[in-house]
Amino acid sequence: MSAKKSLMYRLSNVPHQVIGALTLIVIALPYLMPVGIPLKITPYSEQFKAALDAVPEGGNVAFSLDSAMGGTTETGGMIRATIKYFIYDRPDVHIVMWGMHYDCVLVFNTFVADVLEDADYGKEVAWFGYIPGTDAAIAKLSDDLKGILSVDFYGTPVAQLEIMDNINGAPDFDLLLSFDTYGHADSYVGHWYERYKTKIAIGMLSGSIPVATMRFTAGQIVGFCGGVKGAAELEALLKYPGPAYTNYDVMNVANLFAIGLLLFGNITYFLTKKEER
Amino acid sequence: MSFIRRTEIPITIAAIMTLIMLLDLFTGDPTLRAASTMLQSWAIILAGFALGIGAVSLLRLHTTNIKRKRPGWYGSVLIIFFTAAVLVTGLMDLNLANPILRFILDNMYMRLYAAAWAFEGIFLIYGLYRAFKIRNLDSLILSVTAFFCIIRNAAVAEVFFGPAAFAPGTWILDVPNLGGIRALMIASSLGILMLGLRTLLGKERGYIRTGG
Amino acid sequence: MRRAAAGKVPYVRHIAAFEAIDEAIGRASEMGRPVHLTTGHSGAGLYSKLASDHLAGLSMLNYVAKRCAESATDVIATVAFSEMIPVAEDIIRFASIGVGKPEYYRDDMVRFASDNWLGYDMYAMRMASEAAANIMIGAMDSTSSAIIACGGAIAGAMNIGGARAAGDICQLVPFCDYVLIGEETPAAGAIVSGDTDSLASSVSTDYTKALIVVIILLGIMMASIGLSMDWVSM
Repeated sequence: MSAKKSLMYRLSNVPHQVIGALTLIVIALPYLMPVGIPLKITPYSEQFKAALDAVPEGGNVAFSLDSAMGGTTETGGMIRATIKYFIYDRPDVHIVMWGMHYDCVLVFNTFVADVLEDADYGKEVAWFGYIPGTDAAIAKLSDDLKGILSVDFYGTPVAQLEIMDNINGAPDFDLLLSFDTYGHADSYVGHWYERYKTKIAIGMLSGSIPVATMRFTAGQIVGFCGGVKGAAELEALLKYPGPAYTNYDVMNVANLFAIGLLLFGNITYFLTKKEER
Repeated sequence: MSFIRRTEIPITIAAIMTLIMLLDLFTGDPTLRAASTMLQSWAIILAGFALGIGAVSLLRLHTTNIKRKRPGWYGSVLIIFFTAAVLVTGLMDLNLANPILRFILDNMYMRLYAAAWAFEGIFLIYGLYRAFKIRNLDSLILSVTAFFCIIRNAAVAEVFFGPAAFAPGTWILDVPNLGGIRALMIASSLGILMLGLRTLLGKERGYIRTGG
Repeated sequence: MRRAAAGKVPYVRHIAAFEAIDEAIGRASEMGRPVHLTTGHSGAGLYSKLASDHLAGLSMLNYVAKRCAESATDVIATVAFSEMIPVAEDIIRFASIGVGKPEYYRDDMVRFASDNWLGYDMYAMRMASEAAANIMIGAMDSTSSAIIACGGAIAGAMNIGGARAAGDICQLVPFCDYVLIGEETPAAGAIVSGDTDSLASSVSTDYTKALIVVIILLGIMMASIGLSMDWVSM
């Protein structure tokens, strides 16, 4: 009975409110006092950049905003860096944008809209907004793109958009970019890669990295960028620093805190067991 | 039972649709391709209608909560109010540029979204503390794997543990984890294949009214 | 499926998480709190490729609803997609009629907050924290799993989870007392539904997996001795 009230027992059963408060403090600190942890570029991020560089001159890129607004903590930086890369460094490339997630308009307004003001809308870039239907819509986009995209987000008929003159489906794109938090990338692989061998590169949450690694090693995608770490590396490679690098510090500190908590929980657990014996 | 309510009708329709999509995938016949494309368009339209069903069901449920003053009915008032506000302001400007809508989306929706994601982070860290205690062999493997995978994500760990800090985590992610993911993926794909086969054979009835 | 139709029901091994569902319902009955069940938010509901997982969750709802109706324990089903509302309502209604208690069903037993991830997770978490047993079987996605399961765990509910994808399972494991891993989810759905065709197809996937393992081993051997496996690719 005395062991139940011992300090060790209390330390090995800290209430969730205390853990939550500590987590908040630990995560807030790097925002208030940035540490500037050095970035280490990994081969996967370099492969993603190589996929972007491999788009031929005058090529067509499909840009699918499939990220929920909450996931833009991880994907926002990579979306912004990639669109800036194409608009400022590769103005020859044509970008057709749409979204499979209903938050795509918010994501577009937050991360993309101001960058597109520097582009020639209708010739270099076109934005089609949210397309409902997920799997069915992705399948139809690959076969009959203009069957779904008859007008752009602003109501302009697709016949009046010069960028869409020679684009009818998946075979007309040199690269598909999907920034995804919901698994739409799987549908793109199934319909765009497996049928038409369109090159696909994916940006996604860190939790999806294992699946993306599997697809990458199988050759189904040509690159992937995962989580805050991948986004920060991509921002550094493309030379457009953004929100991901700020979050990178926080991510590192949070990971260290998690390791510390894991060790602390185990140490106090074993000491409690020892006391009970 | 009346003819329209017979379960054989939706099962037959589902089987025919599945067969068309399957034959289109393997043959690429132009007629089948056209039929398949049309079916995909119908599915997209149905998806749009499903959103409407969701809104109607939401209103039905929450107006009932308010009428019967069930616990938490004030939350239902807020839900209905904001649903109406977003609907009306969204319809006023289909480019989503209405100032009231922008205010709700930018200052409430996005902030709440971020807070909910923060919940997940806090819960995960709490789960790490609570569940990753070494009680047996399984939990030892779980804890050690988690330790090395977290180290791999924290670039700053190189300062404490040196460049070799990432090696175990990288190996875990690239070898056993990849193998496990592939196995689960194959199993999951087989399950989806079986669903398609059962639909084709008319043996999948889960989406039809069941009598228990 | 033919053998199952002829009466030879395939054998399925003991699944601990499935056996624990009765225990969870008994616990809820003793504590006077409801049983909460949700089928998850992954995919796009009943017209996505994860429909089989949602259907497995709905089969589980059928079983849980029957058991709860028998013991007069409330069941709350939180659904994430609007097209699942009428299906879930029918399941609970017919389950209560099936056990001879048509008055058991109430129209607030099926809850729907939003098909938006945010609304669904927060609402389901609140429902889970009021329940004594929290059953999350179906197309559970990673974020929902963590939030709903933790909400239930903090409130002292007994958590039983089940998902197919690895990323979702790993989020259930820290908070659930029992977890259905991978193919156990649709298999459990097939067992409770009594649908021999579903059970037979679950078993046939095992045979297919064995065949795939044989092909992989064959490929390893052939690659080791320098032979090409191009004839296998479609």
